[in-house]
Amino acid sequence: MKGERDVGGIRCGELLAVLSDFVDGTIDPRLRRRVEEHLRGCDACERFGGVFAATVHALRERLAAPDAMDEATRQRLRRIPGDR
Amino acid sequence: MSDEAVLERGDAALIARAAGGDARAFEELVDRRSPSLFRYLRSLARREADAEDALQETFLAIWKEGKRQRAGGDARAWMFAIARNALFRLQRRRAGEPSDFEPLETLGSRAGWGAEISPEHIAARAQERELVAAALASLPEADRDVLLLRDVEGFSGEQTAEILGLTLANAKTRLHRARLRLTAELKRRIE
Repeated sequence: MKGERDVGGIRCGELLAVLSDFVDGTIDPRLRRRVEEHLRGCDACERFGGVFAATVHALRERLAAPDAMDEATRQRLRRIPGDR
Repeated sequence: MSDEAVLERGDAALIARAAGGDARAFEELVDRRSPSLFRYLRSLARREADAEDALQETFLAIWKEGKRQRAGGDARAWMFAIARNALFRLQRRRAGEPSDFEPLETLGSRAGWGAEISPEHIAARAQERELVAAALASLPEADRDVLLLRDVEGFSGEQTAEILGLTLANAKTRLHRARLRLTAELKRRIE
């Protein structure tokens, strides 16, 4: 990344590598504080982090509703014990 | 205990009863879990007919092999692993290999990392279900697989790794790269 910087004791490239752990809340607490400080001081990473988090959020919230399943398919599955 | 935790405990009990020949328990399991299994299979398979066939194979295996679900094991993850294996067996091919050879910075750049992007615009459009679904559908199978399990179905990192047959570290790497590719695909479709 052009203009990569060290902000909050962490470089932009290092932040990119841990972004999923940060979004998932599985990041080491000390590293989380450095990431938060970096995001506060680096516009480019703050912007990209927002888009990345929105993408993950969209997957979780928009696609998580069960698909409508054909009733005939469900009934065929329910009949499996009688078929064997 | 959360609703999902209660459901998962119920799954194990239903599987045990079905393994003992209780058809009513099996039917309840079908009603309870076939919609989410179908959603996963349909998104993974792309072709609805493959998803339906794999779903049939999945419940057939659950009925016949229910005794193999170990007591105290993760019943829901076990069912998803069966579904995944059924689909891949049906398609007569292995799961796509992760394309992990690309540098992370390259993936990030495609997704807009370091670029002049309009986060509000992309974030807003990313909430459109059809757009996200189309972007997801265009990704390689290995990417769709991990995103569906972890983000859509809500499995934990450990459960996702177990279903995929990966170490936790490898599953996390695959997930992160898949998310970056999805972000890039959304950006491409929006801009």
